Amino acid sequence: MKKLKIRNWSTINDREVVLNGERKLIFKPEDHADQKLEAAYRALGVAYPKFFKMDAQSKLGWLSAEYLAEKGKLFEGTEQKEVALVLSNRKSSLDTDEHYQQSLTNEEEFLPSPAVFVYTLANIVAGEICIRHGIKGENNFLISEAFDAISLVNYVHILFEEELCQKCLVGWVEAYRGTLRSVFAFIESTTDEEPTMLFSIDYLKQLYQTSEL
Amino acid sequence: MQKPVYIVNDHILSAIGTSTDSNWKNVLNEKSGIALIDPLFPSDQPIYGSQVKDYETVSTAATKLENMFLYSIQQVLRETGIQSSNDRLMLFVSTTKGNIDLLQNVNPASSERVHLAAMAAFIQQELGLKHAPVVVSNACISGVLAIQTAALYIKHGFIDHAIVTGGDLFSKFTLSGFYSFKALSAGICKPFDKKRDGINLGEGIGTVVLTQDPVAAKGAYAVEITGYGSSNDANHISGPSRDGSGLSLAVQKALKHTDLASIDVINAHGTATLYNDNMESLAFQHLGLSDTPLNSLKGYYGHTLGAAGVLEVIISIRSMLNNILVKSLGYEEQGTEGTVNVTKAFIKKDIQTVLKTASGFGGCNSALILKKA
Repeated sequence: MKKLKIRNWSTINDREVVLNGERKLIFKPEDHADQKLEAAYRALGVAYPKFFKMDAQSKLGWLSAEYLAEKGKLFEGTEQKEVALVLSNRKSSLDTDEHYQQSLTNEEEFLPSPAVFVYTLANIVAGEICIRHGIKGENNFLISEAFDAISLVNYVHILFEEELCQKCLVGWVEAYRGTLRSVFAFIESTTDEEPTMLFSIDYLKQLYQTSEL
Repeated sequence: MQKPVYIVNDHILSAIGTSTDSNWKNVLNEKSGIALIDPLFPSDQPIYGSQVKDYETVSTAATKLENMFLYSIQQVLRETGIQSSNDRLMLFVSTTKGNIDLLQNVNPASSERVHLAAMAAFIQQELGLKHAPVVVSNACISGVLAIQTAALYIKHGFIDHAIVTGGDLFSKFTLSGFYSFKALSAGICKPFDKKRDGINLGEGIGTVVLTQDPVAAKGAYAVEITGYGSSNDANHISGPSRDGSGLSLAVQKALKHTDLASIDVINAHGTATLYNDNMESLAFQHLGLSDTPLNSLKGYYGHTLGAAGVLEVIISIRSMLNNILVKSLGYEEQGTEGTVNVTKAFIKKDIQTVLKTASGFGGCNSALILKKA
């Protein structure tokens, strides 16, 4: 089996943004989620107006990938179709589902919004990340009752073994009723005997735990 | 050494039947499940869709969608030689919105199961399955992608057998969303036709059994999954790429072990929106598949979302086993930029290999190759 390593990783929660264990930003505790997401965006110093059209979960996923991108590039020297994106969470798109559902309750002013509806699918955040970074490879969005490091690590290993990808962005992304949590890791194969960050079930679990409040 | 993975049994619950046999018979009789529906909201156009009205209450604790899932999975479990308690069996659930109706009709006993994984866990417990299910929710490619995911789990030795079930409800939630996009057809949809004007939504369940051991699974047949792949357009979240290049990437990956010329039929996504069908036609033309017979099953079922990929794979398998090309219902005249050979009638033909594709919101595409074993 191919040996896989974590090139770099990021976590975002209600308190902070962390890149490879280093705190990049501490949120103001009094800010609500939208303000925190905007603060994380401003701190990056990039201009991406589409960011403001996204729902909270897509913003969170977009930021998680953006922090992993060095000088704005998530990957170089690999074909777009060879980069995979595997995401996961528990709530699917429930945050926006609830928001959209509210727009259906008034029969007299029945005006469902396509701009809201489009975010009522779990994988739209994946679409936003693919657009930003030109990822054209394998996609999958897995829903689990709790963070499932086993499924994620197994599935990503299979993708490499099958030569369905050469690089893979894998992550957990969930924004729900003002609570944010994401854990993203960029995975590539390695010839190192003992890579510092082996992409293993234990290591991914640890990363998730470090993002616990 | 990796062993081949086969589909060996199936079941469909839809507006046109509660078994695969009845579905297949109705397809052959050109019976569509799509009908004018009672309005669910104020609309400036008539709304057509396909709804499942005939389903059994398997568990009184279950929602409509869960009962439909349970019924369908029980039918395949009854026929297969794999026990539900088998430690090497895993359930894969494909759904986009699951119990979305629970958002408006809150019953405290089941409200938690608006969560897709909680719904899947309920199904697991009702059936007495050992492992937590894998839930794939990747828009309209969920069904095809769930089959790919399960096949890969088997191929790489994590499990020996899989049940892949796909399902979604016909809901006010989803219907109003497609209405807001002005994507709904004013009549019965016409995939790939010149006069196509949008989609119909539908509801249903498709369930297949995957295994590397068709004998142990008491397979009703054996159709090998010989290729798979998914891709992203990286272009737009709610519109397909104009040129079909994203879909082409997924098909090219799936064709890794298959000669293009050996594809006997393409079962396309064919939602009957202007953009989707056009995009697909350009992809197939670019791939050199313009002459290959192609159909869409949306004229029979509408777009059944999480069920679509699985359900359409099952009808394609019937098509292979009976050596009959299925008529693409609603198609009369070429109406796409790319040239495609849409099947206008039921035709007897030796069918060994099928290409199945799907594309969806979020810019995702997927493809599977099925081969008669």
